[in-house]
Amino acid sequence: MRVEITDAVIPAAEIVAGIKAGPDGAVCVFDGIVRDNSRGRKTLHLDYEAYREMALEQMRALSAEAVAKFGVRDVTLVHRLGRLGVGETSVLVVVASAHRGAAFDACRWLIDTLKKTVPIWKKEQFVDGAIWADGEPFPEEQRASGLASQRVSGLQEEVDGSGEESGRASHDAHISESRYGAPGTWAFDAGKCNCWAVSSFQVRDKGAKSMCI
Amino acid sequence: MRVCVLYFGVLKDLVGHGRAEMNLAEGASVAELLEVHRGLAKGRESLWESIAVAVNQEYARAGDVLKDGDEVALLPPVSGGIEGLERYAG
Repeated sequence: MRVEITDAVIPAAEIVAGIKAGPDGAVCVFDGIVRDNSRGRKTLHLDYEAYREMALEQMRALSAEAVAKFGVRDVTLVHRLGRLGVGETSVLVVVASAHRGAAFDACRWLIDTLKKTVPIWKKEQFVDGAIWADGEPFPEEQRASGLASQRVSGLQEEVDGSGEESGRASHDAHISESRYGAPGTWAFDAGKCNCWAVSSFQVRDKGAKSMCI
Repeated sequence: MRVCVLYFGVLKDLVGHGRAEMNLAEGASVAELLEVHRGLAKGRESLWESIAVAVNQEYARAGDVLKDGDEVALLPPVSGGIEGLERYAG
């Protein structure tokens, strides 16, 4: 099995050619590429980020599970991070198997499960703004709360530009230097500054500190 | 006790950085850590119900108890594809 997270171009053709072996009767490939539009907006590029160490471990576990679950011979799973242009491969799933049915099934299961459970996020950059792509809620077994049952709306965060998504964050709220109270608490102030990004803060016994940028 | 909290995706933008050290009471749970963060996403409280939490790179549950030195990652829903959008559209 080959499982990688990379910052470089994924050599898809080379990987597909390299996985083939004598016992194989099928190689199934899912080549996930950057689309030039999303919900009617023209996409400039996508920025992928990950909880890298955990994502890699999750991908390794998924690959091993696919081999065990579907009885396929070999799996390659590669995800790229960083800035990707239209048409570039962001994720490549390659499954080699004696028979096509198992190869198709394993390939589909791998990409669907990866998209739900592997901690990788993409920010869509448009000409007029940027948003974090909505994700599907985590499966019940991975969710911390176990309360949500539906897709979350309003996760889209306009970072710049003047898009019209709902759920835009209030820009009059910011974390301020705050109460010297219980550990792990901080106060939320509104309207004290025009920013809402916080460059750094630490929560200590004496309270929370922050700095607007 | 001291834990390291990591923020990703939209959460990273909301808090303005990707990492913070936090002091928590001994025996604090994942749920209590989330409670501390709840005010950070005004108007989008539902976000907190949809996230996953990883403690030392393993998915954790709300009731899990944290310990000193833990790395706690707050993970918004991961990037879905177009099929997800179509399925939920409308």
